[in-house]
Amino acid sequence: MIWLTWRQHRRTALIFGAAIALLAAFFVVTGLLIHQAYYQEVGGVSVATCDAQQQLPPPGCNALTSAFIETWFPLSRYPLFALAFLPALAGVFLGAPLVARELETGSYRLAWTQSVTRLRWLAIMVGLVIGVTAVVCAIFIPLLRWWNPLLGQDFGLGGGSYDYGGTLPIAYLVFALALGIAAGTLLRRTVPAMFATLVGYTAVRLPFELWARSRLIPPMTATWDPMVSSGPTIGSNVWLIFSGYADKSGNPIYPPFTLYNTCAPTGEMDARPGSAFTTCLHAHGWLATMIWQPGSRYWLFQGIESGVYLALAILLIALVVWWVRRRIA
Amino acid sequence: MSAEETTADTVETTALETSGLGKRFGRHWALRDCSFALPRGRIAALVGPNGAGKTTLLQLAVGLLRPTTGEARVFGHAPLSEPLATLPRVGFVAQDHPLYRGFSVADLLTMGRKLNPRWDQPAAVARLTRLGIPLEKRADRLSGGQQAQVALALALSKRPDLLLLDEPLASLDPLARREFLRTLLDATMEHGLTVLLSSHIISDLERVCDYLIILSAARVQLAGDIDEALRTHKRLVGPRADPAAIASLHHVIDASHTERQTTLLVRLNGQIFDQSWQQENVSLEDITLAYLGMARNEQAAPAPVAAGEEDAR
Repeated sequence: MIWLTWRQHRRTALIFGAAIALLAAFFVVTGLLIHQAYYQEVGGVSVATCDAQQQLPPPGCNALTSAFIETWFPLSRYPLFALAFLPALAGVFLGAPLVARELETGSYRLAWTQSVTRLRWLAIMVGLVIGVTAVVCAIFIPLLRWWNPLLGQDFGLGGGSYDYGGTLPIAYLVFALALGIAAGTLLRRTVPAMFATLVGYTAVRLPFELWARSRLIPPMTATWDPMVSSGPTIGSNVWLIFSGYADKSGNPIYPPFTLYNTCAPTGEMDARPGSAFTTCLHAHGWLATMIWQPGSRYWLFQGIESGVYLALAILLIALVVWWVRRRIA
Repeated sequence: MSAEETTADTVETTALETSGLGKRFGRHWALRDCSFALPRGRIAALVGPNGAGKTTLLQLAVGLLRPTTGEARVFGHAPLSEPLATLPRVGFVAQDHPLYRGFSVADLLTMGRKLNPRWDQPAAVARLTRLGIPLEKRADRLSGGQQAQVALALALSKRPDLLLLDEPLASLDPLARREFLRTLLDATMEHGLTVLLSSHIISDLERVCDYLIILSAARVQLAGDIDEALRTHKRLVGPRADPAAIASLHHVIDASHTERQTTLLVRLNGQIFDQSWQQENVSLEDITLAYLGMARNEQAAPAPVAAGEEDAR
């Protein structure tokens, strides 16, 4: 069965494998270059030492760091955007055809009439495809993390690369594959199943990220009088959801046009307590507010989100098993 | 111990048994109330027009389909609920003999070897070599006849006790047909396996089969030994008459009348004593066509026509 799975999917596996190997080579090579530049000392300082002493940077740091960012920023961002599509690609090209192609070409009548039950056939096929890709994905996660020291913060909660760290990439991948397999099983046609997978995957991921994620756990909020205080210190590594002004009862005001027109007609906004701007806000009863998720909730968020996607994947696979046993008979 | 053996033996004398077997797709019955017992060691022809339910019956027997009513038993086991007891013992070649297109013939044999405990690799290689089918060739580059041969080789090398073939001859030219049937006959004699093969052309099967199942309009019309069928079915020719008298004793399958003559095809229950009827032997094709015609007429009529009313038409 393992041999059959390999033989049937070896072309796809080789194409994916080559692409993955290229990607890995890219990350290793550029990662080494980035690291070399990061640790290279110029006049006794390096970007690394500057990074470590952000509170009180040694002289020469500004020029050095900005030169480093200028050189490496384009490289440090865009490859990650490309990675965003990998789970969907796996779902479309590995997941969707897995059962659909057998049903479409009629070869399931060959596969399911050997001495192996169709359930075992399904279990090994699905298990291998999901297992192998998940392992490859798990190897990639620390590689990405190592790749660019500049992105350290970016992987944190609320950071632009949050989705590429922790356990989430594996959960996305398993979900995309399960979705593809389920679409292929139910639709029985490869191409429609591919489209359904792409649409379904996007339809789950987008609203989840744009709407649901910040509501998973009630965020921390703080409201204060901007004339009196400058608000709480929330530390670095937080996911800042909202920072601005609120009405008397603490409801955030966005966009704050009226507020700006009233208190900062010249465009000058000095947020320090006691300034003309904050005194004006105080006079109108407006408050300062902040909504955030603390960085310490990183694994809580990772856990909940990964759990949701894995649970969806398990449900989809259960549906596939039921469908193959009951409906395709 | 001996008691167990006896029960095992009685179960083992029947290769495939169906009782009240039916399958409905949506509102359409593809097969209905199908009951027969195919004895072990027979080569049986499953004959019927297109859409009669032959594929459905075979797929129910191998467990690709789940029955709506009744059950099929292969050597006493239900294919879907006891797949491990049946799958290794059943060889199946689906209609249009599907193969994995990108696989080489050798790959397909490897698949067979990996997935079947009783696989006979040397026999598979020998069979294909004898037929001149190159093992390194891709399945989709083989001719239709060669593909059918490879599919048959895959099914035979499983060393099954029951071989189910769905329209194996449909895509073959006459020469390939003969070769295919010869391979089949050789294998059957070697291993004493039971074969059930479907076709809508009986003439192809007459030479190799010794058992006949006629399926039409989703129902079994006849299931039995071919020699017996030839012995008990006669054409009766006589002066124009109402066949009611005959129908009261025998089973009239087909009746046709000219102005002066009546011709009947009947299944006899014993002897015909009425000397006015002249008895003639019939061919297997005649029998088959008569049953198929009868089924079609029954299907066309709103209610089933009893044998005695047949002259009314």
